[in-house]
Amino acid sequence: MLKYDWSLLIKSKWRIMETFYFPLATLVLWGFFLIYARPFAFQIGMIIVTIQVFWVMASLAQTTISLQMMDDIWTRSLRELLISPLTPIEFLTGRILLAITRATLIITVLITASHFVLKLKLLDNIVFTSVSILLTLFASMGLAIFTISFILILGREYGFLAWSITEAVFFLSAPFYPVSVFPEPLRTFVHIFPYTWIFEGIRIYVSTNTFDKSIFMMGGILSSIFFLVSIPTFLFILKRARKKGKLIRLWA
Amino acid sequence: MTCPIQIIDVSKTFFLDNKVFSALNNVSLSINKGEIFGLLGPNGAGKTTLINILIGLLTPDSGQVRILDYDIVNERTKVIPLINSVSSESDFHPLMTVKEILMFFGTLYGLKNQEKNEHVDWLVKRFEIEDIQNKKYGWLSTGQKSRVLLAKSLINKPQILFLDEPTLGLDPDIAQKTRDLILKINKESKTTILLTSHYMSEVEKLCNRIAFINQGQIIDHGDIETVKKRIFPLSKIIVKIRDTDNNQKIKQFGFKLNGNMWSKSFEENELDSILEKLVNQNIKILDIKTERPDLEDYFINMVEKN
Repeated sequence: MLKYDWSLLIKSKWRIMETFYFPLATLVLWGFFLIYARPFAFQIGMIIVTIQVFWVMASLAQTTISLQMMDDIWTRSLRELLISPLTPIEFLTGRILLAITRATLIITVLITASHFVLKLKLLDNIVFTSVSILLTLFASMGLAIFTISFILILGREYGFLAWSITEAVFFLSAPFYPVSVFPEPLRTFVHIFPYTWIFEGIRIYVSTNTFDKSIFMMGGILSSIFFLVSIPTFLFILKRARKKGKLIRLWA
Repeated sequence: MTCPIQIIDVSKTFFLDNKVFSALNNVSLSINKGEIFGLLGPNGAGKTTLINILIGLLTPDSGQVRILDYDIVNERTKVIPLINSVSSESDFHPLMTVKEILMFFGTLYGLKNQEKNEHVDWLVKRFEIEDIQNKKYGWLSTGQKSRVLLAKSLINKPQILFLDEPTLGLDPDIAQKTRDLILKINKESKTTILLTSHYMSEVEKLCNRIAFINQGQIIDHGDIETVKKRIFPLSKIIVKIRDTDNNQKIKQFGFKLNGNMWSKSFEENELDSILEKLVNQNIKILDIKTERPDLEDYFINMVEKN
């Protein structure tokens, strides 16, 4: 499955663009902002660029899984995959491995570029960087698997969730600002997202050079729950979609 | 083993626009080993719903489906490697080449390297797709795609093949080639085939037995000649005679005049005696033909009746 997806990825110009161009363009955009903000808002500039590095990787990991399935639906090749001996776990595993591969590629490029060009110091604390990458990656893959589950049961017309759900989760996770900025009712709710904790941990590290273990621990617990719960959810929804006739309507 | 395909009291209901729609209603059918079985019915009758249940894309609400003695719902992973399917809804990713598609599905169906290479090479030759094997699937014509789909359907040397409208939209010459291939597959590998089609001449050429389904129920089933005879027990003989002097004689045999042609309905075993009578009475025949109801007549009649 990984070989199949990889071969499609390298043949598709827009997927290659998606892997490298958009992440790098984001880094360049905020990199210039950092240069501009250095004299008067250095810390804010650093926070924004650091968060963006991890968010771009998260977004890419999420869309790898969700958009690849939408590609299966749009090209009507999903039917042939579903009637083959490919099991749902093999299907998911292939996609997860592709997401990890792409995320690894782009995070390597982004961290290297931001460390040497923008002096982001992400390579100075390997523990902080590794933990942030892992937690963000697992949360994103969990989110992606939930997204494809929604699309399976709700139908093809909800395919827009594949690329838009990330943005909704992003701003609700308080990326560049503390949770206290939100109105009271929202403050409790946003703490269910693992990114809320991860971003807070990143902001604290960038501001004070302190690696807050308890915050990252909470982020880790939520990321693990997201990821681990998403898989049986997908399997259950696939079974349900098969029973309700939702699967066959995806390519009709 | 009993029949490789056993469908026992299968029902399936959908909810569409807040309404309950019964797609299949207590459908029961058995398909014998090695036969080509045709499933006929108008649009919306339930043919594709039934095929989707048989290949595991849909779960029945009640009843049981046994494929090669395995329950398709609870033992799906045992069934899938032994069957395959082609449908008008089948497609592959347009960026994959033909060879990549066959190799990928070969891997999915558990073929190992050497066996996979040999089998793919054999399929490529068999389906005459050598010149397009390195072409991307998205660039192929409809006829070429159809051959690739059929080639892929044999990647695992299936014991059962489900063909849902396999020649839909194909040019007549390509459709004919596809039918020839289906017959060859059945003859050489003794593959059991369940086929749906809107082309009655195709069903008559390919199928041993058929079932007629309408509004989710099996209305009729049996071998083609038997089912036709149930609706049209009689055939027709039409003759044009040379001189009008014999009009009385031919009338006595039960012929009726229609324009300048005389016609009579008959049962199959009566044809010899009718011809013998005409000859013995020295009735000079200018033209003679028999009209036997075809499957299209049967289909139209069944749809009108139900």
